[in-house]
Amino acid sequence: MRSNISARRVATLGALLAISLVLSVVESMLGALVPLPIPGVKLGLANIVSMFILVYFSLPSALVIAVLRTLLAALLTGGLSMFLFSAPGAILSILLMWAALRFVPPLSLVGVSMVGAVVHNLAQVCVAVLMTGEANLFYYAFVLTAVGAVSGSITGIVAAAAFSRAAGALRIKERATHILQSNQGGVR
Amino acid sequence: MKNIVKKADIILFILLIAAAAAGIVLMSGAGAAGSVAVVRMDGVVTRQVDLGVDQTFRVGDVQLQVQDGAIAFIASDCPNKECIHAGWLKSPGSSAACLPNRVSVTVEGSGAQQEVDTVAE
Repeated sequence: MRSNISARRVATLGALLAISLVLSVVESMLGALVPLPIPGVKLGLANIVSMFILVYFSLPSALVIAVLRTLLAALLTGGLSMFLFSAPGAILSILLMWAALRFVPPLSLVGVSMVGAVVHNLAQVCVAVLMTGEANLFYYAFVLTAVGAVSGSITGIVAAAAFSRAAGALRIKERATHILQSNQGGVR
Repeated sequence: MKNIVKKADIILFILLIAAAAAGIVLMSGAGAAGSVAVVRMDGVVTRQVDLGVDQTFRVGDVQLQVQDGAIAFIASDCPNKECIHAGWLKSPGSSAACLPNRVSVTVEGSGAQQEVDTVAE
């Protein structure tokens, strides 16, 4: 019985990994099609999946899936430097989103998603500064904070609208217990 | 929409945008203090100017002025005065050039980055 449950869990997380990988590859293709004025601006579609795993599974699952996703996406699109560039942002944003879900009940998924997007962008600025040694890049931190607030709200609204249906499609019955029950804008 | 977005989300959004806007304004305004303008002639660095010190100086046949943390070409013998029309430069990365006189000026972040070229536009 127990092995049954965990097999299902592995299969579902694998499907979610595939979905998040498709989302991040599609997103990087879109980024190549539409040149943006500021480097590093993305919608953060894959973050929706990270949030989903946080809400319906657990923090460790979300971290593992996100690291695998950035690794596979780097192999598909860029290279190892891509992985080093995107993994810290993904990990930090998941940690902070978990904290927001756990400890800041007034925020709905939209606010949690904003937190994730902003933290992700700020972490990327820090990595870029470390990689290039160019402290001027910190200037982008402010621009990317605003960008993160906007892109995070968009992905958050998508998440709030899609989560309960996605959970139904994946036959997931209930949310993880570590998430506060009051903290569920739009999920019910 | 109404039951998706909560009041706390809107407050967080406003706070983030306000923090970003304040940061951008501060960086573009007072950020010039401690910045350095690099003046090149024929591509060779001829002078590094502290933008915190108001001054006027001459490089070849052009005259540049530093005032309030910004630098500008103020006089030149070139025909179309493109360099003067470029106006005051203060944010890191911005640059202007007087092509006939082969003089360019680029604002860089701070003294520590003098050896690093700016990121290409």
